[in-house]
Amino acid sequence: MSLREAVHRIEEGFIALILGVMTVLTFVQVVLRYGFSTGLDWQLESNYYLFSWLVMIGISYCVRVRAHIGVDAAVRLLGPRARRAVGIFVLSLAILYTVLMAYGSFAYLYRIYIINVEAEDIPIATWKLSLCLPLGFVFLFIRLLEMGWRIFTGQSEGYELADEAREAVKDVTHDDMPDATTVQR
Amino acid sequence: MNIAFLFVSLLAMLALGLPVAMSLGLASVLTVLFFESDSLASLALKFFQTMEHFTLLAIPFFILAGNFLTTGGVAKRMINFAIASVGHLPGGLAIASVLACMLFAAVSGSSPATVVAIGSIVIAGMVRVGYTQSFATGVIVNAGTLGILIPPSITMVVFAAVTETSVGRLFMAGVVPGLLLGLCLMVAIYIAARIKKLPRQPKTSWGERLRLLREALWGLLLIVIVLGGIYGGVFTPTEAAAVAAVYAFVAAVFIYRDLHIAEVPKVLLDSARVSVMLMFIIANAFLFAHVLTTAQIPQEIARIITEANLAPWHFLLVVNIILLIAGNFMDPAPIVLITAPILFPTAVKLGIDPIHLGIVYVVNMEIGLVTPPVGLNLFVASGITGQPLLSVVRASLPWLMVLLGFLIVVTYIPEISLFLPNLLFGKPI
Repeated sequence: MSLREAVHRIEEGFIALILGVMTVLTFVQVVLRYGFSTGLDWQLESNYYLFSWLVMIGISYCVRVRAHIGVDAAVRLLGPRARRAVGIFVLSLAILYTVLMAYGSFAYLYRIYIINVEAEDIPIATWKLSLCLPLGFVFLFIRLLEMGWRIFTGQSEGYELADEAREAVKDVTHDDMPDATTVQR
Repeated sequence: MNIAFLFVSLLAMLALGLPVAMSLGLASVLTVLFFESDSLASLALKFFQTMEHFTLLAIPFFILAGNFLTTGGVAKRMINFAIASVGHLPGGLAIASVLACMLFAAVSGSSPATVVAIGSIVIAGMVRVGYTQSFATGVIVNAGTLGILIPPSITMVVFAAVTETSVGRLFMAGVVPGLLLGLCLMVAIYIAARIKKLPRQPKTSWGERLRLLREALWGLLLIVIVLGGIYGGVFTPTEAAAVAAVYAFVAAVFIYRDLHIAEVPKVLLDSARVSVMLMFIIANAFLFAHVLTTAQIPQEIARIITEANLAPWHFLLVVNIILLIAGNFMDPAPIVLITAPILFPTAVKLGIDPIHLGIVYVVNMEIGLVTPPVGLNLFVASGITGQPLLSVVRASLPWLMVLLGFLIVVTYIPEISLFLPNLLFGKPI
């Protein structure tokens, strides 16, 4: 297993695990409330942070597996050269977005790092729990650079949007999940 | 000026093919940087706070529940039961397909998923007994849209979160319209079958029907848990979704044994992927809504429209036209997220019930799923049948007329949507 595959496995395992834990936590809360008239007072806050980690780490994963949706009706009308030019432009917009949000996230994190208080129901400092925010945008930045490389070297025609229809019917046609980093064209 | 910039840059980025989420986010961030004084840090906080929305947590759970039960086995059992119940009518197999779509919609919150699960089995079945492929495909493409009207529905959760209305009420409000639209499609098939002399299936005995119902029951119990639990006040919609997900896991792995336990991580990952994709759009849409509200745009529009003395139904007509056009180019969730913050305050000011508006939204989104160029159901149907997109579009056209007629009825008779929630929860104060 190459390093890249190992990173992918960890990423996927992490994401699946968080969703599983969130589901079980919420379920257990309901059971405790009705079965034992009690509850976990840290459950709500934990779920909030778990959900944040799920989403923030998931954003860059979604770039890798081409899950982000967009409107490609207009771009499809273009010829290959124009499409590539638009693709590079759009990718630079995406990177601009990511840099701005990453900057804002670090600034926000720095603020709560200075304040340094613990979360309400969990004995961990909020800045540690919120680390996923800048981290997510940094990962996103890396994935976008990778996509830039693929457009530059001609492996991709433009910005890689999701093909939802193909995604939806993959169980029927037995297509494997399209993974942008391993697709050979 | 700043708002002109916001909208023009948003539309330009969308048209160029930047993902919807980033288009919303970048347009909002740039507008704030150029014209307002908020810091990037406060925008990042706004973005982050979206995850605090307890309602939104229902999205991954409902998607997970749906994915556990979207395995072929559950759909197959629902189809068997549907065929045994109504297959003997003229056009019976097509009518049964609509019924199967309705049953499946009650475990799934997504329309394309419904088309795949039911369509991949019944379209071939219908063709085998003598229906034309275009008839079979057209029925399924349109009946599949029931996935977002019959609860649970991801589109409804998104609408509820962005407008701060009650998910429980919205779910209840979808029940009667969902049944009614299914019935409309069935009647249309019945009439077409009489004219075209379409085949019937052999009649099934009551004993056999009961046996098939019992087989399909485990899947159908999901909707009972969700609606019953919310109605009985046992749990919040988000908790209902988590319970549904655990229940669906038990049903799929231990009762039906359609899913091997080793496949569970893959189901989790698949569900997480769709949820994250949606949440990324939603978080950025909250930035967008924040910029709009700071600029007082929704309030301004509400003021202009109330001063123009527009009747509520005039306004709803405008809403329908906007949503139908948007539906041609975008998916349900982004449309709801972009337009609802703008249109909702006006609707409330005009005295339109928020829940009614929600159902009008959902029905419009259903139509958007079956209209080109970006009707997702069309692509999915083309994918599972191997037909060219254009023939799928042509095939779905007659049934689209049923949906449009239904939209008019639902828009102008609010009681269809409001009857059940008001009966169960009492009228809102």
